Amino acid sequence: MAGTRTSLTESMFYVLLALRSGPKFGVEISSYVDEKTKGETMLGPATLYTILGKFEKEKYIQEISVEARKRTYQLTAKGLKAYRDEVNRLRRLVADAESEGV
Amino acid sequence: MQKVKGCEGMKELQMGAKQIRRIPPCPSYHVEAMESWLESMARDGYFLSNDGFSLGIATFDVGTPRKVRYRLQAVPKRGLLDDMTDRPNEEALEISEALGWRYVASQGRFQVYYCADPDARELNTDPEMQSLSIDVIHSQERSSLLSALLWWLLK
Repeated sequence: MAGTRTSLTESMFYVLLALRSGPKFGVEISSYVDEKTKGETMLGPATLYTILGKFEKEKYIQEISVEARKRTYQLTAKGLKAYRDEVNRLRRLVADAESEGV
Repeated sequence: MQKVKGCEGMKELQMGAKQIRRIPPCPSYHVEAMESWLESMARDGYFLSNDGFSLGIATFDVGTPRKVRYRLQAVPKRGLLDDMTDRPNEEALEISEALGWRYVASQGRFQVYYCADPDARELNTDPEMQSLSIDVIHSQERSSLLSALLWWLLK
């Protein structure tokens, strides 16, 4: 179930990655993900705001300003830990695959 | 695309040459069925009007039949004051337009987006997030119903 998952979806991962490089508002996050993934992963508005709402609730991110109706978010220490845990999990998966000759 | 069951025999209320009204064959939370219905209407030359949902009735502008895509985006309430508007904010509009999609209307907690460009990318790329939003909406609706029931019992 989505509410009890321990790993992140691809979209969730990229939102954390986007905020890892500094505070951003929604459009900036969406553009960052589009550019970083060369268009492979796209965040529509509802997906983005669902993720931001979920991350705010889980205290992975916090809103730091609202300017011209644009909310700027930054990563928290808990969010950074979740990001690093996910990177380590992905590394472990790849290492396991490589140990079997991929 | 498959026609939505029950769509064919719906009562059509003619409003004149340029617009028609129809009752949707399914609730908005049947997302794929609603998208499919809107797309089949467009193939027949009926395009959901701007702010074209009112009191559960959909209004369509009459145009040249064509294949377009509609996508429903589930948008749960973020707070008590969130009921004040059901339109996407300016930032959401900017994001969707950059992706080639245009906001058309809202139906309950769902926002309807339209795209006529067959090459534009999909709006929903994370079905798990969409599913999570729909779960949250169901939960919010259940809470609202319980609150209303409690209020009615206590009054």
